[in-house]
Amino acid sequence: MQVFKLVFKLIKENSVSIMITLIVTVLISLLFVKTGAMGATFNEDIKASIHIVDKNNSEQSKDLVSYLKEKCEVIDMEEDLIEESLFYQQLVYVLYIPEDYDTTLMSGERVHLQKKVCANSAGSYLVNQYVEEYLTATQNYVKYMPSASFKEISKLVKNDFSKEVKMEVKQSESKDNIHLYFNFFGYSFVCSIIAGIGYSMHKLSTREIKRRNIISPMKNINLNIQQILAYACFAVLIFVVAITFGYVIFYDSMQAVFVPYMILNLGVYLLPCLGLAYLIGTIIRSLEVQNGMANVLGLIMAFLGGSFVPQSLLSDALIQIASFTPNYWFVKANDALYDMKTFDFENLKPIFSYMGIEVLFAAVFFFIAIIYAKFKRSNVV
Amino acid sequence: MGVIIKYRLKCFLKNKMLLFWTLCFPIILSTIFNFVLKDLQNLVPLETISVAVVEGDNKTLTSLVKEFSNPKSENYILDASFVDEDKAHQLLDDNKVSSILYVDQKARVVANKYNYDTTILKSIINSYSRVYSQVEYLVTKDPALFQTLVINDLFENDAQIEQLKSESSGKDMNMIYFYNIIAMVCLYGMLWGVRICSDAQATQSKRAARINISPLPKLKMLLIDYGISFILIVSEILIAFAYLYFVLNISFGDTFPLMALVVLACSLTSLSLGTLIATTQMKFEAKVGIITSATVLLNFLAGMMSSGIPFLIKEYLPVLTYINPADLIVRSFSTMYYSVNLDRVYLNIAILTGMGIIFLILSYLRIRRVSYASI
Repeated sequence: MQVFKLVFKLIKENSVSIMITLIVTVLISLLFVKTGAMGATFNEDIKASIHIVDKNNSEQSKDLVSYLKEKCEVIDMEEDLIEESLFYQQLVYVLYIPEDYDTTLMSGERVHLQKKVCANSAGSYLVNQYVEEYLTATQNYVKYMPSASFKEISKLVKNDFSKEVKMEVKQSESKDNIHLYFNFFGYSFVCSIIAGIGYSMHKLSTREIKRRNIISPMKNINLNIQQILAYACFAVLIFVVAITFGYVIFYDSMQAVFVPYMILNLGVYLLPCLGLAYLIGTIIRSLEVQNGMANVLGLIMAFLGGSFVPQSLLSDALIQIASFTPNYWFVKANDALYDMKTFDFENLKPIFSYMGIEVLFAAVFFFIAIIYAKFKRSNVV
Repeated sequence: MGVIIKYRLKCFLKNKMLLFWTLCFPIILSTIFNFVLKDLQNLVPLETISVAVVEGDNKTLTSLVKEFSNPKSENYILDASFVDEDKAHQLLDDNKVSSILYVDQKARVVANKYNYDTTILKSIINSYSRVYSQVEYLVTKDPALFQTLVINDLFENDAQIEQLKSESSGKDMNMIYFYNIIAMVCLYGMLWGVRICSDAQATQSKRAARINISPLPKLKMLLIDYGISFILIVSEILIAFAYLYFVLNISFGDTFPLMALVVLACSLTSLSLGTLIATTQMKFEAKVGIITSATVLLNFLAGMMSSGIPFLIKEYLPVLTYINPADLIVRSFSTMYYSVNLDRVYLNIAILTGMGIIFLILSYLRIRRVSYASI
């Protein structure tokens, strides 16, 4: 197993770079899950992010703010950050309470507020609904009970709002976005595995080493098998590290019933990643280009396949294009597993077929790489 | 001097694969982004809410639902199907409706999961509960009101919420993904920096050894290399810009001179940062690995994979928004795109230039006195 050992020596030589790639990608995937990214699920009524500029600062305005705090996520920020927050869609609604809010409200006159919103968003509609509902409720009491104090009115309004409609949610069990952690590896595995395998293939493909290998008594097929075996072991190592990180950081979420199937899917996904890394290592000689290409291919496949943007948000045409990447089938399997209610063979059948397609991709990548290598070998001497 | 420039330029241009990829990368990635992000909504858009209504004995609530599902009404938001219970559950299971509304005295909503549709529906139905509660209280307190109270009046909103014009209104946040591509091309300029430095240190390559024993001063050589690489990076970025602007119609605002300044400043920073990294004693491969990983990390923090990240960084680690070159570039372009206040852009250009100069000085200090007993 000389070649096998040599490959690991080379990988060890480049361990700094591989470790950095792996740590960076795992770190990114953790942040990705923690932020929920797109496609997050909720376990209660949705709370839109809003900011309130209270120029009145009265008992009445504070009551409105306190009501909105129950219904929305009120974010405090500097005035000059409002526009940026609206652009980055971290806020969907900014409410400006005017200086004369309390007197207008209590006199029964028309209250005049101002807002800035993220145009045409469900969140801004919802917040507007809350504000209007609060004002209507309060103004009704002001109109029909003119002698009542605001404290009394506020109490009555709170009582009215406590009588909420009953809500039954079928899928109310709490599910973390752990599938996003797995989906993200659709990107990070491509980068890490190409970084590791690319380097050793780059070293082994130098003209002097190739010449030495050709005249060695070891058969070419034996040499290739040992090489591929070493790459496979390296990929498994990366897989183990990824899963270990998952269990260490998301221990509770990793106990979900679908997680073992996702781990299996991730294991299968190693194959097309290995195939792709082997193909790139065979075709591209420059290390800078290999690294750049790993990122570019990783990003393209991740965006197309749904690692970053949920597949449900992609257009049909794009889905058609994405189906020519292994990452698409990997993410599709993960998403289907995440939504699955019963894990019997009938339901799991499509998942296994997606995994089969991933294996087919691996076979195609290896096939092209071997054909290319055979074609190029005649030019070595 | 002219001969040196000519041969060094030849040397750089011979690295065709790197040139090709740093050029092709933004074109391929931005084309894909354009396909993926064209119709992508980061926010949940406001659309009619499909709901299956199971009619009961609550006439007031039925008329409220009909009001909200009348396309001619200004309150129109619901796409209500009045069906029996079995059909309603079938529609819900088939995801044809987002929820079922039972319109009886104890109104209730059944849904598959919580989302904006269910929250909005709940809020509409809550207004009925609120009015019901108000009528109950007011009539109990003053029975005379029973004769005069008009229930519809209690639904009427008399407040006016004026919408102010927002600078960012109607601006597409997905632009930051394209700005990230420009930032990534700039940061890949670090690879050119590594090349320059590798050719300046005799222990790094055969060519570097040859250059070191030549009578040419190291500073002169570095400046020539630096100038050529700088022109190459700026040319690559300009080509990427041209593609984004003319082919994909990506908007960068109208301040072209300022854009050019940002491009020059970030090219300077990435090149000098690459040079600084190259002065370390690590292997060439490790340096390339660090640069590519760092580029991805910096771009991730600037929002390349999830647009919410830059805001989180600003909230929890604001200092990073002032030292992350990718973030400085993306924020500069996004500010030019949505805002008329360009103070942040000037600040970012100053920071990028300052960082570039500091990295350059540090790199020179590290390699200027290095001499070799034997090469």
